[in-house]
Amino acid sequence: MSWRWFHQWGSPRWFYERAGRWQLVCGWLALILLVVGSLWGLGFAPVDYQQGNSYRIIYLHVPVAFLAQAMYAAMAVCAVVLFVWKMKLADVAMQAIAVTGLAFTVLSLVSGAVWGKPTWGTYWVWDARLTSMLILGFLYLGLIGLRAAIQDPDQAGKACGILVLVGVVNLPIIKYSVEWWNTLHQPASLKLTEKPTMPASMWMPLLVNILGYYIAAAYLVLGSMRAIVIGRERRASWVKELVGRA
Amino acid sequence: MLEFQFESLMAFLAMAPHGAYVWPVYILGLLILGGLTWVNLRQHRQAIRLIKRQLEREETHES
Repeated sequence: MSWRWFHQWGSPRWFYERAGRWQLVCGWLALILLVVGSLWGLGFAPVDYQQGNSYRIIYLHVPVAFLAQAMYAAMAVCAVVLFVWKMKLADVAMQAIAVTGLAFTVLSLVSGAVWGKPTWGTYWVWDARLTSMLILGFLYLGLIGLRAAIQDPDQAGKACGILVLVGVVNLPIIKYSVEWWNTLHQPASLKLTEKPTMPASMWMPLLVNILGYYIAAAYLVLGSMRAIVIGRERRASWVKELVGRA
Repeated sequence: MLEFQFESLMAFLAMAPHGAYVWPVYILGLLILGGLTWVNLRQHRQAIRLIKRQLEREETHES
């Protein structure tokens, strides 16, 4: 088996040139999916017989909450790649994902709190799911702070990689919090292994938005990675050549 | 299957009785996605500006 596909990721130039094109495709695709999915969920999905229209927050809340966790898992994969293969791009990805992941975590916490008010009668409870998500937010914040505190990018990458791997323990806690403890938060709305508990007219727009937000996250991470790569590689001849030509 | 669930556009915008909860969440989502896009573009442009300045300095130093 050829490992060329893997080794090319070791070249910042290869990544920078291609990521621009990937970003363009992801950007437009995400925009189309999110406009379709959000309008579908907000205007065309049926009203919930118990929650009324407030349940329409689901079309934003569930995708961003999924992503907040998936992005942390992606950072952990990057940390492993950084430690095993010493691939610089994995560190760049960790740096880019931390900021985007924090944004999605904040959005998931705020949208959940706003949804909680009409549904539970309160914006916040110190319940296992909500608290473990808050801890995820602090982990992202800690990573951003740690990187900012260490000047040498290589050292910063290693320190962040260790913190990312330690923090992975929080992911199963978030996932199983609704089963291990009595929580106000409902169990998962969509599972890969089971039939959805909602009718198709409700989960189909949710699926479109989940896909849309995933692609939007890819667009944002790629954009951030390109900016970080060109900044870090500013002394490389290919960067000088590229900027000199522009 | 696709049927608009509101009587009018005004009813859609009011989303009674939960418009005050639903719309701000989506507006915040839009602001965060748009904000991150803007931050990335700005960071990219700043990096390129810095490299250009560095190249200019090198050129004047050589000449």
